Amino acid sequence: MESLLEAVSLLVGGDRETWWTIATSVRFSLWSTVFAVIPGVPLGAALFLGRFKGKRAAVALVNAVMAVPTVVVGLFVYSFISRSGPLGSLGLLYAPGGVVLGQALLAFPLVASMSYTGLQKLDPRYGETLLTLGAGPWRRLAAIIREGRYVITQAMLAAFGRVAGEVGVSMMLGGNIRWYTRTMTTTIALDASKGEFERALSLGFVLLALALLVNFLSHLAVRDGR
Amino acid sequence: MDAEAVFEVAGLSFRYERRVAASCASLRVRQGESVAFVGPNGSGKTTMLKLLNGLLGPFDGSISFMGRPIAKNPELRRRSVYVHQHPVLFAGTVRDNLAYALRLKRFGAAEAETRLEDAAERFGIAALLDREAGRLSGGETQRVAVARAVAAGADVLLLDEPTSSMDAEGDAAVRSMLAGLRRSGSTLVFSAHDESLVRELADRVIRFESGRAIAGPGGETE
Repeated sequence: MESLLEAVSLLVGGDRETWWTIATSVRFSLWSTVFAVIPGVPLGAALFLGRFKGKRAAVALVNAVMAVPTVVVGLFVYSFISRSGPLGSLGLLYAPGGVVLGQALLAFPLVASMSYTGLQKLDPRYGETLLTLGAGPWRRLAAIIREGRYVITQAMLAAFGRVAGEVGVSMMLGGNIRWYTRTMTTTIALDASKGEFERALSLGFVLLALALLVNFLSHLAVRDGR
Repeated sequence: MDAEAVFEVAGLSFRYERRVAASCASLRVRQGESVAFVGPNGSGKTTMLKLLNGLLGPFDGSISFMGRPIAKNPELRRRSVYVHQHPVLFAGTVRDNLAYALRLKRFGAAEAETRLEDAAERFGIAALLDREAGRLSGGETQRVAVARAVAAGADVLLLDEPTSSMDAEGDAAVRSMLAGLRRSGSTLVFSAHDESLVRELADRVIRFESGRAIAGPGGETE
């Protein structure tokens, strides 16, 4: 009970480190969502529009990649951005850029898969009409994304929720450095391991509220889409 | 190869989920002809119309448009349009819809405006130009969809059940429009259940059964 009250007071009292951690998490999540959406939505739309051999295999691959654990994604990116890796000179490891890169890679297949699945619910006549009227592939891609903006919004929200709540990538690539790369989830992991539950609980409340907000906005996007 | 042929089909077979959805040993549609596809629901009429317009594939056999295979044939997209049974109009006004199709075909602003106005006049939709496309009746939607195609330069129209589920007024307006298109030399290939529409419009009838183009009343598909 005491921990709960202390957790609430950290939030209500405007504890600087707690709010800095929240802001950092949100900032990382927003950027990684943006970097996941830029290739993820066009890939989902291209899979939806495309008629090519191996399409099923491509969709299955995207879905399979979506299920890769966060630590595996972290490890994969680590091998590229560690000092001896091909991107080592960029100095991304244990820096915000590394966390954003890892989270973007984590969210990218989710965005692509959800965009593809969501767009499949669109009226198939829409794409056929664009094609028969002579719209080229880029125009069709743009028009389909515009028409499917509600399902794409849902995919973006899901991606944001996924990266805001992940811990493996942030821990491996960010290093959980105080006032630099520490996020809500890495703080929770660290504080809980030390037996200091107040800040962990306060951040847990924020993550819960964030998850509820994302769900609510996603619900609104679906409703508006109908 | 027939110089006048718009479409030439040979040995066509299209499978959907391991079932032959449409097949046709041989079919030729000539310039300015009006050809009706008739047959029960699910017999392959719509599939064949979509195949002719390159909306479905891959398939076995060959389909040519103006003497060239339809794959990557720019003439197909320039001159032929498939119109759904319940056509899709894009968000915005009727004018926006026609303007969008004209932009796709890269007409200059002045020519696009002239074409838009001409099509609106010709298809009796001038009064609808500033109406929201989503609020039109079935007959109006069908006329706008055809006007959009013709304004953008299509003279080969593939129409799926163009008068189905329409009130009497809409039905009459669409029939009149199609008769006008036929008189003006457009090539029409359409599917229909309505025998009176087939009698009014078709030069030739192709019957479909279980996915197969069988033959016209005279036994021909040529």
